[in-house]
Amino acid sequence: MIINLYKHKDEKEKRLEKFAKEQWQKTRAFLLSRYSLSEDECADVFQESLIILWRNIKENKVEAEGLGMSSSTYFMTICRNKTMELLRNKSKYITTPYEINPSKEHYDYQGEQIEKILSLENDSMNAQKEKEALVRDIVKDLPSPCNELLWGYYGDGHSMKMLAEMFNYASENAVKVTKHRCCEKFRKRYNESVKSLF
Amino acid sequence: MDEKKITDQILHDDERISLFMQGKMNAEEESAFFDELKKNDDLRDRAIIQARLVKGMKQTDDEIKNAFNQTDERTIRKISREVTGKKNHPVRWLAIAASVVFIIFVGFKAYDYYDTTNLGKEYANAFPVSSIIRGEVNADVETELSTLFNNVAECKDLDNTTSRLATLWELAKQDTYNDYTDYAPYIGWNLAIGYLENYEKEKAKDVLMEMKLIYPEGTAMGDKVRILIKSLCC
Repeated sequence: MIINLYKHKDEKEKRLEKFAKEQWQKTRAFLLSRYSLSEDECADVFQESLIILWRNIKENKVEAEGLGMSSSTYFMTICRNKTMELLRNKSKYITTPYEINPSKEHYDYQGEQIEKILSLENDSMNAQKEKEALVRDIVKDLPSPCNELLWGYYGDGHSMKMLAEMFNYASENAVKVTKHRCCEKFRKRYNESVKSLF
Repeated sequence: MDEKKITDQILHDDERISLFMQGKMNAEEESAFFDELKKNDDLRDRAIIQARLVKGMKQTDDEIKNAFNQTDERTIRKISREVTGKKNHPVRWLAIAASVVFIIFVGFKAYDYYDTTNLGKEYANAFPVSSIIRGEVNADVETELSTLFNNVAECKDLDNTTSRLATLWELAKQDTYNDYTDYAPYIGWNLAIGYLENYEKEKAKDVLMEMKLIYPEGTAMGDKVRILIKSLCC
């Protein structure tokens, strides 16, 4: 029992560590390039923002304020606000090329619409569950750049324009093409796994 | 992956799938698109894949939120420190505060050391050896005392000197008259000075307090002892 609890705790921590690592890579690159913060300042912003994210999730504020945002998008919004606060304190004039503004930049996917599409598969409840577990495993382990693009587009609901700026693509069209290729890679991997599963 | 050419139509279809999932089509468009999904196998397959992605990512995100919910602040702080490789402010400020305290402590100690040893040096020649040892009584005793007193005057070999003087101070204080009785005030004085020069302040104070009781005010030794005690205490 104790061992199980310990293992459970380990799994939970590992998941959070992975999330934090991914966010740190993204946040660090973003803050360094967009706001010219120092490494120390990036770390401060990140650490404070992660605590705020934790607190807001605990207090159910993410669902209430987050307008359906993913943890990642919500976290980036906190980081941005924290950076603004820091820059204001330093009285530094700043211009931002783009802003993570939930009302403008975030697209929410409707659960009802998703289910409507999935109903076309005519799967049993069990098969649906197994396929969902399979997808969760794949999306946790996507290679770059698909990880950033697919999570950015489908997970965080960012626009193509925003993704192009975030990940330094030449154009929105370049993002569309790469994202499509990533979807195809995902489709191939998913279909292979489904075949071996059923 | 099937190396299929990515046409504008394919990219346009991707956008239509997204718009459908976001509920941004009007009722007519939505109905037409859904009918198209039923008829077009490839489009349907791609729409299902994208819907699976959205749902899978939402579920994965819920898992993360759940993990946050079950975690305490300490763990979050630990993770963020590990990930960024930077210790948090309280630790940093604690380290700075500890350094400041340490510097103040070292500074105070250095000042106290300088002050105490200088006081010893200042009073080392209050009773010159030549005025104490005149070569009139016991040559062996006087030679030894002369060496010890000179060591104190010159701040030489202080560990051994104070150790020997401490023994002689005990002998000199005895009720029974002995070779050191007549030199007792000077042995005590030099012992106290030796201790000061060797930065053994408490031992010096003990000897001086003993001497204060033995040598009354108004005598040369009594007055010097009292002045020195006052200097040490203030």
